[in-house]
Amino acid sequence: MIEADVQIKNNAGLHTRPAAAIVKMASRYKSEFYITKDGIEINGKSIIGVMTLAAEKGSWMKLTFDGADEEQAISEMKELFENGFGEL
Amino acid sequence: MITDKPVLAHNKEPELTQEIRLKGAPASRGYAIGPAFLFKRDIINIDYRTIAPEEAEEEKDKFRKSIEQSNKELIKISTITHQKLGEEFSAIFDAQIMMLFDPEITKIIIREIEQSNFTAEAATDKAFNQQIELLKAAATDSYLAQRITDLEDVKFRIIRNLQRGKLLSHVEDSSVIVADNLTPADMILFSRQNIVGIVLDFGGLTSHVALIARSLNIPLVIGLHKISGVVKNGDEVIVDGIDGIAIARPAPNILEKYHKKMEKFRKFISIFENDINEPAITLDGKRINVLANIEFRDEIGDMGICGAEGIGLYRTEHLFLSRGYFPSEDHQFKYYSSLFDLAQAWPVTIRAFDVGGDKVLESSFHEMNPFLGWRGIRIMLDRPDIFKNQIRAILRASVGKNVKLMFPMIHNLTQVHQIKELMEEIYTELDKKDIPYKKIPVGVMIEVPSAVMVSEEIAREVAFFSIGTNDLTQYTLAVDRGNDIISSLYKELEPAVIRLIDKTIQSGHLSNIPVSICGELGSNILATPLLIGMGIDDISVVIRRVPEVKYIIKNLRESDCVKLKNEVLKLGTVAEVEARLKSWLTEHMPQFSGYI
Repeated sequence: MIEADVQIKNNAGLHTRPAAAIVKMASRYKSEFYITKDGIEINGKSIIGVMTLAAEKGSWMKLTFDGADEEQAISEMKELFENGFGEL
Repeated sequence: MITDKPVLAHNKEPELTQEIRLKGAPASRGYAIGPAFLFKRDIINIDYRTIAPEEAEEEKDKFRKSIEQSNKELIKISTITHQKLGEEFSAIFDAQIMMLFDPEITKIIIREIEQSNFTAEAATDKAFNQQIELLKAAATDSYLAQRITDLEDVKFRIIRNLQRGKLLSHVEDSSVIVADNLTPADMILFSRQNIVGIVLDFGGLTSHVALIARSLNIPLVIGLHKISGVVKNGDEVIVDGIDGIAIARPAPNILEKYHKKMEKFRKFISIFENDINEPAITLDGKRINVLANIEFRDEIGDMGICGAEGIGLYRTEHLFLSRGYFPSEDHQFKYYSSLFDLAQAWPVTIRAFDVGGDKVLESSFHEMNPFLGWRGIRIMLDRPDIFKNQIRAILRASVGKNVKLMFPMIHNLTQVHQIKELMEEIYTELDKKDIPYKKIPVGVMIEVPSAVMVSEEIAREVAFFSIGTNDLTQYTLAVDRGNDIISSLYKELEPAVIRLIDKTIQSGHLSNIPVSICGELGSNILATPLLIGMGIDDISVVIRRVPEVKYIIKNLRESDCVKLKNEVLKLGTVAEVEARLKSWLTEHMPQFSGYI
């Protein structure tokens, strides 16, 4: 299991488009993927789950990957957050 | 004691056997006669019985098949939407596909079937309702609220497929669709069936339904108020898309009359097919290039059949909208290369990304006036990375090809200077890296009135103009065509609009640059002689309108058109302009009388 804290950087926050990008990327990996924010944990491969986080710019969350390809998955996912989902 | 209740239902039962004639508005030209297909959205009753444990496997299997079927449908809808309306609309369906496969929802459904002995449809209903509640609790703005509608759509699609009530499976060939209204998704699905006409209770002339019907040449009458209430499935219906009339259960003499009208109309439109591949040259020798507006690569296949002489407008927005982000330079390079290969020898005018700011920003920043907001060239100039990626990709893919590039939404000369600076930077960078590319003609779209006012100055700096009449009309008149309350004020033949078009063409010609038109006015045959009179060089229209526009050009004289133009530019009201253009066309081309 591997974890990382990430921050939302784009102005719009975690709306549908970034949520879809996260789910799309997560689905390519075999590892289980969870996102925890304010004590709530959701399945990061669920579009509805990610959308219900309703995370705004500046908010922090924890990414957790668990599985054979977790290393690669987390580095790619961190980059997606770093780049503000391409909206910076 | 039982109280008497009024039995209105019995007294008011409509007589459904007599001929009924309703007057509405013609929204897509032509006639059709066929059996009615009454389209109503079904009310779904969900089967909430308890299943026996041994039925669980079967229910799970049904669920999986329904997901597969729903996925196929959504991919189809998304693809067709993409072709007809652009990615802006198809993105909705892509989000719905992700919801279809949401692992959390699937998990709940399987659990409900296995452990609570629910039917697949009841489990689906319950699981989706739970998620809808969750989302409602989290929804702080209208954006998430919209996703709730999507979830409901997905739920009903899965359940409908579970109940095998396929929405459109029973549309007979050659049917007339009768409905209260159609959503773009409905319209898109029907457009794939062999339907001959559509009649609607509601609908607007500028609605997507009308636009699609016109581009597919399907006769459409809208605003019939109650047609869907007085027609039964299978009733014979006449669609008169010329006069805006629908007739249900016509008497034999009426039917005969309409068969004759149809035959005459068929002959009338068949004349456009003659010499379809001959260039459009007026009787006195002026050649006009008639090109196609293209949004989707697949449409290029139809260009030859319709006699288009090139692509006058290739929209690139879908590259962004399908993904939600701007693809990399290399990805774009490959895409444009294959596009230019497909177009072969045809010239292609490609337009830089023309996206609305709402698409780039997502929703947390709401522009008060998106049409006056961050869109088109304004985004490109603020984001040189996006600009340069796209332009480099286009220039690299243009080597050995006949390509022109244009920028949308220019509103002053400064923007033109900024574009040129960026272009110079790109040339220098590519030279430095020794990457092969081609310097192609760079033009601008004229679609903002302020750009028209300084068009003489702009013309000295660019290789061509392309007039976008839809935005030009909307910005000149300050009328949002999407706003139903005032959309009737949206008139592309308003004297102010046509004078601006005239000024744009004159400015272009002062600097000896060609001026083309790529808005809807280009396919309005009333305006064709006027545009010729003003000296337009190219007309770019939706593919299916190419034959008719070419036919008109081939049958008129430029000298007559110039006289018409001088006369029309003096008229003060749109009614006078329309009346004069109609009388002129009927006078010079009597074959059009009755059809315009």
